[in-house]
Amino acid sequence: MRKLVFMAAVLTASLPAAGFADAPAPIVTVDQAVEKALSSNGQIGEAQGKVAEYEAKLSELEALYYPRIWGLTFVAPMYTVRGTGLSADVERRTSRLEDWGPYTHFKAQAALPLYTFGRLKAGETAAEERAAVEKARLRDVRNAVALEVKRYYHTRLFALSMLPPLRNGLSSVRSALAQAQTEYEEGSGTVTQVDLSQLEFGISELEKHLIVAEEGESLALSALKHTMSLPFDSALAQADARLTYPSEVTLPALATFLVEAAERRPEWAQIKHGKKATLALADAERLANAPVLFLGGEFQYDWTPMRTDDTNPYHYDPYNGVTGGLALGLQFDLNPWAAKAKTRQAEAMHDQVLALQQFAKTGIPLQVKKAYDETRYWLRIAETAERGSRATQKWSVFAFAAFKTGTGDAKDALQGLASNLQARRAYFEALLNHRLAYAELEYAVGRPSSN
Amino acid sequence: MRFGIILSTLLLTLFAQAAQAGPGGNPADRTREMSDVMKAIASAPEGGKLSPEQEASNCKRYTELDGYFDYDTIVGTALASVSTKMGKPETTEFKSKFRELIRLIAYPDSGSFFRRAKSSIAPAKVQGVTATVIMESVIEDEDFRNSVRYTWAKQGDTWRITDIAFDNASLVKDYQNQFKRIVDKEGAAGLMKRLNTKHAEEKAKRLVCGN
Repeated sequence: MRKLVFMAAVLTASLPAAGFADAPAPIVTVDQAVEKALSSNGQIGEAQGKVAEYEAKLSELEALYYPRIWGLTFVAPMYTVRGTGLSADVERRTSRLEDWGPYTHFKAQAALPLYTFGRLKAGETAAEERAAVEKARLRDVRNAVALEVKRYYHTRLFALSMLPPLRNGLSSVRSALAQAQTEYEEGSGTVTQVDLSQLEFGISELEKHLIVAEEGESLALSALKHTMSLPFDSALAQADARLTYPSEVTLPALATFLVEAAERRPEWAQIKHGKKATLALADAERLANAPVLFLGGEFQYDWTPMRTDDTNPYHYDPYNGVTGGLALGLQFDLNPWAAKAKTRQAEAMHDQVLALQQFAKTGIPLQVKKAYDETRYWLRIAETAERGSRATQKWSVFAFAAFKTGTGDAKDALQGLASNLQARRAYFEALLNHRLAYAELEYAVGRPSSN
Repeated sequence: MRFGIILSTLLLTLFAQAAQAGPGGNPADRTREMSDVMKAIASAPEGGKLSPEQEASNCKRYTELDGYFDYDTIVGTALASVSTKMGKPETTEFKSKFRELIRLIAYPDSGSFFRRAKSSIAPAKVQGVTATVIMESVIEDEDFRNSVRYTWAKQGDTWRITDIAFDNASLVKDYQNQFKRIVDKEGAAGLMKRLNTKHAEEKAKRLVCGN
């Protein structure tokens, strides 16, 4: 019986598992893709690590406010010595085991900085502001990642948009070639080798564009997954099937975006904190030669039974005794030439930040204006291209109508088809460029997503 | 060939034989009924053939579709620009063969298009004895969108189509211009020759129904 139960268990385990359907691919809108990327992208993780690093450096500096303690203790074997510094005869015994015993030593020192003449405070300010610069840089990295996500998201939609017209066009031209070949073989006179070759060339061109679109679509999807920290073979689908004309086309005035950029661009925060950090660093370096007023203490204990305890306070007895005390002191570390050089370094860094500020004053508004103008430009192009696309669609329909009823030529129909493909491409390219320009505009004003 | 299918759909709606009056109803309903008849037309599988039952059913549908169109007005209008250059027998022969040609090329492909497309039909705009109905069709997978305007004329107690416009471009008007251009260049004989050649080509390879 047991054997039968065992066999049943083995057979059941070896049967294929119930056919659960593969879980459907998660579907993301562009804003959801941005959100996912912002929560998991490695570049953002790295920038967050940098912030933590500089915050830890600040903590390291702040630790200087607290006392430091050094200590040393040991136990060592000691031979017997009887007598003191005043004894005429000092007995030394080492031959027997009983002549040996322990020697213990303990020493501790402590120091508490009381006043650094501003040096520690300046260093702390420099570290704080430096950490703030990294926090602002983190925001910039987040915005850059969001821009990258949008680029790949919309680029894939462009490829997806081109696939249906390319496939339809290819199917139409292949049908046309098949029909033309039949007429050519029949010797009807309506088709020559030139016509056949033109059709074959048309097919090769369409196949080439189709390969580019298919590969482009696949690569863009892999790149999108990478920005979202997903493996390239993980399942992912986009909520949008293709590029469409934007539902909202009214853009606020340029001034609105310029104001937003002035408030939100992380570079302004980096510059503000960078200026403070470099000024504070220069102060700290300038004060490097200043002394440190400190409160110090020392305690030492030595003991061994193997030596006579010399109790004369004027005699130094390193083997038996307790010493210690507290003192107020000044610590000096003078190197004025090195301090001057380091101060100049810090001042040079400050000048670099000022130069960046000057660059950003005109550079950022220019970046905003360029993206703004391109957003409007590509929308106008898309409007025009859409009219062209409709016109070529009409061209193709009426050309095919005429061809089918014998009142028009096949060439007109095929030219209409080719023009329609070109027009669709121009339309989708304009829509893609519009999306990319708007994404650049969002980046230029320091906004990671539309939400 | 998507454009061929659209053409087929447009042409079949223009040039079918004016047979017995179909049901009356308003033009928007008639448009809907017509597209339903088209959807019922069977298509041969790729590389395959229709079964005899499918062929018989399709022929019935073709006859049904004929009732939606005013063939005389449509072809008559298209030939208006060249009527002085064609004699009565030629005109009669042209009308008959042209209608047959449309039946041969447009009817078979319309079913496939209407089955794939998602269509919406706007309410009819009626002015006296004429009306226009706009049908918007979308095939998402093929990135295809079009807007077709059917012009209907009241004839007795029913409505029949007298023109179709694709994106506001009238097919009848275009045929009018095409015929004029051919006749001016090649004469009425040239126009007849082109029609006869095409008619013979298509008759040799397509389903020919009895009526």
